Amino acid sequence: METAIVSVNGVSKSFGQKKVLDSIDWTLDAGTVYGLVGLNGAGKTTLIRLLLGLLKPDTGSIDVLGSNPWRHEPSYYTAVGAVLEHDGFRGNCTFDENIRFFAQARGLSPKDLSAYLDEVWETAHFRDGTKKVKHFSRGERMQCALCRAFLGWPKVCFLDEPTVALDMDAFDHFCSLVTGAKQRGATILISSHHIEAVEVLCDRIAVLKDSKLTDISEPVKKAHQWILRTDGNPEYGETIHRITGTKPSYRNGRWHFIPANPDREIPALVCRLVAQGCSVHEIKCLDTAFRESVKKAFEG
Amino acid sequence: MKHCFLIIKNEWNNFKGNDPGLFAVYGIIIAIYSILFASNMISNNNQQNIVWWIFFSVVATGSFSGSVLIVERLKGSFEILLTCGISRNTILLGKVLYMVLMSIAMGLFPFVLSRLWVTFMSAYTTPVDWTGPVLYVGASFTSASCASWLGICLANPRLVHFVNLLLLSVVVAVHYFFNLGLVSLFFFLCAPGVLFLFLGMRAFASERVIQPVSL
Repeated sequence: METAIVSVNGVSKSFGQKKVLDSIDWTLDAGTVYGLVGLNGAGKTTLIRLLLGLLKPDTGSIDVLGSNPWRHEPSYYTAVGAVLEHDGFRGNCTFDENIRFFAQARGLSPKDLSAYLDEVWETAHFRDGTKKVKHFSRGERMQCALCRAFLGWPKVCFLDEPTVALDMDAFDHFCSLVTGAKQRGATILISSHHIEAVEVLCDRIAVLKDSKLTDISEPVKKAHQWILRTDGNPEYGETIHRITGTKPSYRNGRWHFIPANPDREIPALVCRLVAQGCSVHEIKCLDTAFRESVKKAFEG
Repeated sequence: MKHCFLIIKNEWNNFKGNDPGLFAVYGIIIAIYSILFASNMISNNNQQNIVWWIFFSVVATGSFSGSVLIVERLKGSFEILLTCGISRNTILLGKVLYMVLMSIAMGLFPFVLSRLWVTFMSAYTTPVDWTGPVLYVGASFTSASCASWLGICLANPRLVHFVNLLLLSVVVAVHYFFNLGLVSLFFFLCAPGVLFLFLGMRAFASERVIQPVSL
């Protein structure tokens, strides 16, 4: 059963004469991944800042996990993870020093912290104990920010452009993090220009345009494109082609294809691929109309 | 309180991870001031030392307020710190306390060094004059509190150092004009500090703390 975790009611926000958000109403349910797309300056970051209590709405109210973010209660922030424009790490400190600080601030014990790091970030190379964060690449810093955002598996995550500078492996890891958090019942909001990330990860999508929010989840649900996350072995492509009758394309670690009869073809495809020794990491239905829906929403 | 120490520890970790060049600059500043204090002590000019101690507090506190408040606000890294699970007042108190403690620690070096210079350079030992160091602590607190408030309120927070300099110049001028005693001067220095800290807490709870500012 879906339960509202975040409620935005009639929220407006202006900076000087410029109205950035106008009477926004939005409800985010538990265990769901939401995408927020929009052009530059559409107000995505402003909305996330409002949800985090960094900005105060001019009108309307926001309720996240039963509390008003603008009250700045520390207990609220221990239940919320965030990725923002700046990663907030101390450049002169190592990753370990930084993450220990945030873990202690959230009330996590050293044991919980090391369990989390070992479970989710065991192979991450930025965990090198001596390298200062200021010497990290942009992609590494983003991974550190993601590591901090999911620290202690918060109930709600607000991620502003979380895929910036991530390479393919890091993106896959990010996808598995989001999936893991979702399975734990977390509500995740991803604001991104990276349409593929939104396309792959989000259950519901909203577009911000002209200060208004439009939910385009319904057209998205009608779609029938499928993605299969595995390696790019051409034999797998041939198998997909043979079973579904469509020629698949391999992009960003995923095969994309449109089966004619998914109910029959998908189970058969998975059985065949597994028999071929393929590691099927993920298979899910996407929408063919997604980009068109986003485009339509942008065009009004 | 636990979180206040956590903020101080975090700032300390960041400070000690600085490049060695920065510590060399600190060393030069300390050496120059210690010689200045020593020469004033030898010439029995303690009144002038009071002025230099107060101005040294602007230099010391300014260097720390720059890294823990102003640069953070300009870079936008406050956003994450404010959402880390520590209350805003605790974050600000931790930062102000860190600035004051580091200022005091930095003040200890010229204090001890100047005593050493005096011992080596003069045939006699002058008694320790605590006026300067005591006022230095008060001025450091006021400078740090003022930075915590104006660092958020000013469109260009880099101007904080000039405001601090102006403020403490007024205090020194009042001291010379009215010839305030040590205790009165100390409270005259600390009273605005308490007010600034209160105003800083208010500013820290507002939107201004993350508003974009012009460089």
